[in-house]
Amino acid sequence: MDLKNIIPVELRADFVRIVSSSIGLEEIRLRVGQVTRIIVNNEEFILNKSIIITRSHIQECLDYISGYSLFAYENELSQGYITVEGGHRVGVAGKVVCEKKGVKTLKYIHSINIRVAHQLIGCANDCIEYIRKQKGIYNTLIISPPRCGKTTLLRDIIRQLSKGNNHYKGMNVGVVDERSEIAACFEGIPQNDLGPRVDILDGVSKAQGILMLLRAMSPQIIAIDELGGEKDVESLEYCITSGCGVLATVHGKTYEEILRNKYLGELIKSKRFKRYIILSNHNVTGQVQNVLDENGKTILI
Amino acid sequence: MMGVIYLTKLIGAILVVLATTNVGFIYAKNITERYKELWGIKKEISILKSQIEYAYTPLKDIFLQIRISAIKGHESFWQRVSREIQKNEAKKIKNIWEESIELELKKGYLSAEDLEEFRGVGEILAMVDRKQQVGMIEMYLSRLERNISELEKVKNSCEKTARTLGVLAGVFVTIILW
Repeated sequence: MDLKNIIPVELRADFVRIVSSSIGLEEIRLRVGQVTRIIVNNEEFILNKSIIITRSHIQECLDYISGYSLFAYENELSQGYITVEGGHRVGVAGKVVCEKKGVKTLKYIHSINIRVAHQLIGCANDCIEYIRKQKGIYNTLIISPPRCGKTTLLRDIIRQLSKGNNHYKGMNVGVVDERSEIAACFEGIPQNDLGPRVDILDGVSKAQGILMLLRAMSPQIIAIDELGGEKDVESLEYCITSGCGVLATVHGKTYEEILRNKYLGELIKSKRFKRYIILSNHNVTGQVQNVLDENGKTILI
Repeated sequence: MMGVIYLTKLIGAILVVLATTNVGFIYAKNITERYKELWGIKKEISILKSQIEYAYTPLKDIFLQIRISAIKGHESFWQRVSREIQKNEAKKIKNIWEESIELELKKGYLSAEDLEEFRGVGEILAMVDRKQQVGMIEMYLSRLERNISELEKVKNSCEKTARTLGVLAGVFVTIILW
């Protein structure tokens, strides 16, 4: 999708002038009562200083984003974002409407943040050989603080495993994409390249999705992003014991920190994971700091 | 000479009977076609309702689905609405809907009242709350149902009468003018 087509018509000429292509474009932010700001190559620009964003601009933008069908994105909206064609994520903020089960929807939306999707093809080249074995993979946990590229790395690992190469056959990978971040599905079609042997369950909870994939798609590997609660860990354990390979990510800084995790700790102590990839954000997003084995010993060469 | 006058009168009489018969048949056809179109709209809007209510399908896809099962003459309407909402050209859905009615449905057999009520669906689509949308569509559908059953009564009683009256009116006028 051309991002120009989802911003208000009034702003398009300026947008085209500043952003000649989507390369380098990172964010577009619209807020009621403010000018429109865009981030290109880490630098902030203002789109047409004379245009102050109003509620009708926001509504116009939401109409384009949802194809005049906000009702169809009720679930996504209750989580605060909508994924559009191209895998770009549109975050929204406004008045939160709650009900017993949690957030129902958002109304009086006054801020929109369009985050441009990026893929780093090949960013898993350094660590893929630590994950693969002759038949299948080592169950792997990627440990990383937020914004260090764990999802980007996971995406590339999935792509490489699914695709295969001259030495290894491609494998069937099931992806549970609870927040549409890995595959960035738009209307059921993945917008990111995850290779040819991938089955994606989009928008389902991790615990449910793992069981659904195991029963329905008989995957060789299951990939999930941001492990969290007790149920996620329970389903993951079931997945491992049923002989399916696991690729997962978790927020954290070190192996020791995750070992102390209330739910995940037990899984680590029982050596369910055979590889731990620790990421750092010192130089490049997605840079591998260390690779550990099941005992927490460094094996990175 | 008398023969020519007689022949002219006969041709005139036939033309009068044909013209009035035609008027009767056109009236009957208008009722039948309007009835068919209202049934078509009922089916199309029912698809719209269920897609909004259960499948959470975006409008552009719903309209394309409806187009496939739409009655003859309505396909172009659904096609146009679907195409227009994908253009992202600062138009409200309500305006796109109304424009499409003007361009695609006015040439059909729906009455001005039918079209006016159908215009209201465009306003329903602009609503954000799904439950409210579904409720309003249900209201529209029940109004439509009522219109259809009223028209059905008219159709049953008047369709045949209109055709017969057309012929009889022609014969009557011919006898008077003869």
